[in-house]
Amino acid sequence: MTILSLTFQISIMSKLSYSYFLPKHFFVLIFAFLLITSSCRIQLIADYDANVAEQIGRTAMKVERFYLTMLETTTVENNGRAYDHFTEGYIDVEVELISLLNRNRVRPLNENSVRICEITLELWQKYKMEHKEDNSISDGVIGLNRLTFSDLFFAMQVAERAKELID
Amino acid sequence: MSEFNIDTTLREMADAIGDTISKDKEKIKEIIVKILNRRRERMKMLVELRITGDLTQQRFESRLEDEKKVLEAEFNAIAALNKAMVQKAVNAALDVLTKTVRALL
Repeated sequence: MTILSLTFQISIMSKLSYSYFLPKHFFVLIFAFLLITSSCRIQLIADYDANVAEQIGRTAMKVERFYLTMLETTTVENNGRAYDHFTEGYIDVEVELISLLNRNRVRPLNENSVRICEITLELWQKYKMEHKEDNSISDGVIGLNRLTFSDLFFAMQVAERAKELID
Repeated sequence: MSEFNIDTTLREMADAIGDTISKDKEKIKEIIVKILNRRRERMKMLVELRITGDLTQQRFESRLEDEKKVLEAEFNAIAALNKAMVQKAVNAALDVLTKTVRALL
């Protein structure tokens, strides 16, 4: 390695346009050597994962279906929107969100996506508890929840596809 | 025979960073505008629901607190975009340096 480095330096030094060789040039050369003998790339963000992107899309659709079904097939009259009627749907989405969070947590350089997932799960659980406490939910609140989660899933997709979007 | 000129190489690296960032900042701006438009719709709906009584004052205040969290999530998405942009720009600069050094060997 040392011989190779020395050979490299001599090779470079012989081609320098400067009449003298400063210490700063030596460090640049060492850096350059390390650069060409290493992977030569930096990584600040996790690689795009198509499976995670697909799961985000699937979970977003589940949430949309859940609230649209609630909105279109039930009314607040006659206890039509009692919490018990929707328990299964809430669990289904929560399981997906926990799975998404865990998949994101194991990926290095992925703290932005992890935080978005944590917030989404936290708000999902909060609105579930509100529905449980009130044992009903108005059309307006359903609309607001749909919009909130749609925006959170949009943020999740942007974070996941960041590299792809930039490329 | 090619010569190694540190100043030229550094200038080329800076150009590579500048070119990459100027191309990508428009894409990022577009996404930020989308995010802000969505936020505006949500805030409008939140106020309407308070007026119609769908949300009690307590729930309204609680939802305003939630808005901070949604904003945090949106900033995390923007931060991921910025990281991707910086990664691409730095790698473009490193490519210039690698190419220059390889040409000398």
